Amino acid sequence: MAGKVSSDPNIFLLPDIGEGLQEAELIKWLVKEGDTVEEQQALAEVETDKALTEIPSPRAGTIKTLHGADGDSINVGEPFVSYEGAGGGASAPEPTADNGTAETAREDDGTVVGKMSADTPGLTRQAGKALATPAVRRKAREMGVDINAVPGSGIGGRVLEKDLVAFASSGGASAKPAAPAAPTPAAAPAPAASTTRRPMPRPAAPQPQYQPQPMPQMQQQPQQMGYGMPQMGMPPMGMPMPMMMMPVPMMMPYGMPGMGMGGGSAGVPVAPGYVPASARPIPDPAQQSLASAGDASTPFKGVRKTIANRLRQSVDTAVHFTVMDEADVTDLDALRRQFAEAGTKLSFLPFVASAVCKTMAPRVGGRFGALNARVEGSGDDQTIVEHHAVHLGIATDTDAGLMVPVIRDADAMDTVGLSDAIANAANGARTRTAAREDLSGSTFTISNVGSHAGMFATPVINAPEVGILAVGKVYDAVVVRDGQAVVGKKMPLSLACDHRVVDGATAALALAEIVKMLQEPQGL
Amino acid sequence: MAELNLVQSINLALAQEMERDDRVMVLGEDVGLNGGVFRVTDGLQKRFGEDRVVDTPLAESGILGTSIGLASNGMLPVPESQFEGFLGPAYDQIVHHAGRMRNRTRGAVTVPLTVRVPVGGGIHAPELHSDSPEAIYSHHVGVKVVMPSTPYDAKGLLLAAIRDPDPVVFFEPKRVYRSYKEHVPEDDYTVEIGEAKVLSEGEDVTVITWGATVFQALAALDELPEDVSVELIDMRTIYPMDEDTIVESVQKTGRCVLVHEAARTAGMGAEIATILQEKCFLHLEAPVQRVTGFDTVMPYYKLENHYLPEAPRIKEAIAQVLAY
Amino acid sequence: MPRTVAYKTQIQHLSVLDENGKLDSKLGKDLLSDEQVQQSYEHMTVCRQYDEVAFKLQRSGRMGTFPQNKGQEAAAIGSALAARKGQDWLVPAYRENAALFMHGLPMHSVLTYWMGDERGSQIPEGVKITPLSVPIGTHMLHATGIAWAAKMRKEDSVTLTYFGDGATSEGDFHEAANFAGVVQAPCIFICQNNSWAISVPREKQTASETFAQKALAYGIPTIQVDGNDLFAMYLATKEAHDRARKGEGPTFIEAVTYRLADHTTADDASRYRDTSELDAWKAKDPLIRLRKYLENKGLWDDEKQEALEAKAKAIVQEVVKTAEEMPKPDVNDIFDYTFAEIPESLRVQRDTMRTTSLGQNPDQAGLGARAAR
Repeated sequence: MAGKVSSDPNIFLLPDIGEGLQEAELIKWLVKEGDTVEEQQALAEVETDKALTEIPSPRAGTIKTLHGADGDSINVGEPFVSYEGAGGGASAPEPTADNGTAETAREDDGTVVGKMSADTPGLTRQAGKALATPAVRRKAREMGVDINAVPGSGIGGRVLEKDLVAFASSGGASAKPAAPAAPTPAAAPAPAASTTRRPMPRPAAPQPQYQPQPMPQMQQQPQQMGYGMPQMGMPPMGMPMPMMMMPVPMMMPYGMPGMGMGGGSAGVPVAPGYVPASARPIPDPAQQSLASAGDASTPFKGVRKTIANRLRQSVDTAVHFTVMDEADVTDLDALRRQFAEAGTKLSFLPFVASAVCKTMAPRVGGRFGALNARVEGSGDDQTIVEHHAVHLGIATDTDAGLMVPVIRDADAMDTVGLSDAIANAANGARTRTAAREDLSGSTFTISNVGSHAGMFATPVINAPEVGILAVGKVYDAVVVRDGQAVVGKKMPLSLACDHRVVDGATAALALAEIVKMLQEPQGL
Repeated sequence: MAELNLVQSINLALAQEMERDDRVMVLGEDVGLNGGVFRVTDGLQKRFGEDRVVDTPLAESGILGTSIGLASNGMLPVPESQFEGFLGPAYDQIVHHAGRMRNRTRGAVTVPLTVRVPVGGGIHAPELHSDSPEAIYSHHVGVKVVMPSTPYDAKGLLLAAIRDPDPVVFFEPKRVYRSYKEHVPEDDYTVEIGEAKVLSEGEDVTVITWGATVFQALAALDELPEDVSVELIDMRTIYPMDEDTIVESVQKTGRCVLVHEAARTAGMGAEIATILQEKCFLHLEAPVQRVTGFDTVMPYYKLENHYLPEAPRIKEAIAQVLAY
Repeated sequence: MPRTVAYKTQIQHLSVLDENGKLDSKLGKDLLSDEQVQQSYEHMTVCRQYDEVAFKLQRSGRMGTFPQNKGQEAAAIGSALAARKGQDWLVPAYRENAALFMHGLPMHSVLTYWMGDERGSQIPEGVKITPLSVPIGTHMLHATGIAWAAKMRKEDSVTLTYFGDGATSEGDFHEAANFAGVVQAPCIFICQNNSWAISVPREKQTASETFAQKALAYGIPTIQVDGNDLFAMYLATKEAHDRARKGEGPTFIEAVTYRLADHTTADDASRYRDTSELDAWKAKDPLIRLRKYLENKGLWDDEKQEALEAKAKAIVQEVVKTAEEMPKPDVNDIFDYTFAEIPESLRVQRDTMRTTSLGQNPDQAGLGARAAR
């Protein structure tokens, strides 16, 4: 239309009668307030930059107010004439494009800030390659940091500048938990690969030139205009699909590798009913089927994320195999009670720790130093380094997930000393008072997190170590003494090793040694 | 010093230059007696005569073609194409001759003409009265393309264009013709071709545009939260572009939103985004966003507002780019 | 050797009904039946009412820019009488609405178009009319092509195209006429010389004495006609039509008429035109002379006039109502008529334009939900 239309049908706004005019000078009114006018009856004479002309009434009605006096300058779009009540006679001006515009403007205004796609279409984090903006990459280069080794806390696992800083200050290659990330914008969707073509429905009939469809009934027109499939005629939702997140399980060191501990991906959301084209990255079927109302969503970020990344790396690097055995700890249990009665409370763990140290520490005669090693270097240039000392990592469950405080030179301690050290370490981890150096640098790890329940396990090695011992729950069992079946106690043990470095025989024998020591506790 | 709108400032520039230089002449359809359909050349024929302000026959090819001849033989013609939709027949003359004559003759024959064209939508005009072809003419060699957004810039750029020894296409955003007034100095000044203008300084994001959308961008800025600091740049010259200003800005802010009415594909936004990618690569914090018309015909006015990139869409693009 | 004459001709001027309503007895005999004339007068009156109402619609903000047809009704109706609805083609500019309505275009379409709605150009099936053409002179080439196609397909179809004096200055006119002459296209070039191209009078438009003679350059038979004379327009067009049907090629008709109103509602003719000239032409109004003719024949009176005016008013009111009560156009229409099959990138723009700055990401627009429905 040639101008704005008031939302009130009784107010006639001054139209733009000349393509881009801003105002008109009212020369004189041709009617008075109170006059009844017919549709198209001349209301006033006005002069514009382009012409001197009359303005006709858009409808029949009775004049209530004339907005302006002879000689006034009136702006286009401002009230010109108001009519009484609802005018009779000819049609009042229909809602025009401008009303539509207002609605559309409101729709546009309602968009959500922060919807910008986190990844370029079709790209999810590839193994080993970091996602980062050019600015951050430059920063990484300046800092001498390998950006691909930095855990990212941004959208989609993107590396942010603060991730670089955290990574650099924590010493680099050995993955440390990054500082918890700042909250990321809520519901940032990862996009689909929008580059694939999907055949769209044709308009109703291909038309030869100059012979379009017959002028249909006005009401039917939208349907006939080539909307062959139902969704074409529907107004769009206008809101993005919320991203459904996979609920994150507890970080157990001995879960099934890979389950729920997805690598760098923030989860590919799938809008129900949205059919992916073949070229799209296939969303995780487990995630797809699990998404439903009532799921508890937790953003997968921060410490959890870091731990997850480390576990992923560990599984990807070391070739895991596990040997399992049980130790008859009836006598050990008796020994424990003796200590307890003497005032020293000891759990089984320090004894296990002592046994482990004696098994693998060279300076106490341990023969299985192969389990106390790490692999250094990469590619063709790798070396196996056996540690001199045993720095024992004790896997500890905390609120923030799994932590592994370290007891340095554990092989130099006796059992009681170990017990104290373990208690301190665990406490420090749980209360988050542990210093950073206390949380890293282990050469072998023991986990009795599963001692609450369960027997055997397939633990995940705490990279870059080559072995981990998981202690199961000590239970009452029938043991054989002097040919007699008696009730005693058994302790399940699962020893996982990196097969690149430790062969099966070594692992089995090492475990046997540990079992033997536990079964002859006087030595501990 | 008067407050003038765009129509009046261009009128003033033409009058002053025709006074100053006898060689300047205006020609086009309805420019003389009628003063132009938008009244931009109002009063000029009365003042300078029918020889220098010519009502031509209805033929854009004829107007531009004869202007090339006039320019090569000592005159400084300022032809008008009544609307950008009518440039079609003139296109051949502009891009294949005006823009190439200097190169063709190794400088022996040159074409110092300035063609004035109203462009852009938003005034509810009929078909082919609302387009924005600045990308097309920028792509063709030998032609300079400018589009002022304010009365002050219009006078300065027009004088610079008329005095430029090469052909200049002078686009006038008709939506702004009467909608904005400002002080325009009476004295002689020019705005250099190839110089962009920073309208507001900022740290968080750069918004680059030209023509009528400058005002839309300003409206969008008004609606942003206080703590969002936007650097708004009006290109003023489309070709040859002021790369230094935009590069310096985006290196500072790391984020950019480009706005133009013209259709998205192969619009000037694409060219600027590439320049920014080339020269600000390591500074970019987010992909460059384009807010443009669609790859469709500009709708007639019942649907026109859905097409035009106005304040709400610009605001949203800024928000997206900041949240990246 | 004395100079010989290479080519010589003359331009005929045809007039049958003069401005006083007097019919040339020889030329006008049995040309149009009383019924045809009366119907033409009625249609002329309705179209005049339509035109004046359209002007007021624009001035009251209910319609955009509108080019009035006032004063040129006889040129349109007279020529259209010689054409066959549904069989011959009309290729108009924008000042021959009366002809289009006779040829099957719904009357509200023209209002819809100027109200800024592309559906006004969505010509109904079977109606052989091309859309109104805003840029000057570009449609005549299309007319030549349409006629050429009819000839190639051996169809009994003639194409009439309308344009103004200004349009003859455009290069496209030269090319359209030249092509038509060479291929002997069955078309009729009807130039409505209404004396003005916005503010440029015909003396400034061309140095030719007549517009009719421009056709000579292309080897096309040509004639100048009193454009306000219904009978003359009909006769000239009928002759041209017969020629075309017989395979004798194109014809040019210059209809001398006058633009009684401004170029469009965005123009003010008083800036460049003399009122004395306007008044002189008002006296030659096609409506006036036709009414006089009917009255002289005893076929018309004041009572009939009153009834007709009331009827015209009612018809036009109904037409305006139809145009204004059209539902809002579908926003997707902006996209869906760009190609036969919408390319993917454009589809993305269409489906996301309301929720992103420009079609950035389909998932952000809830496309998944739509697809599921």
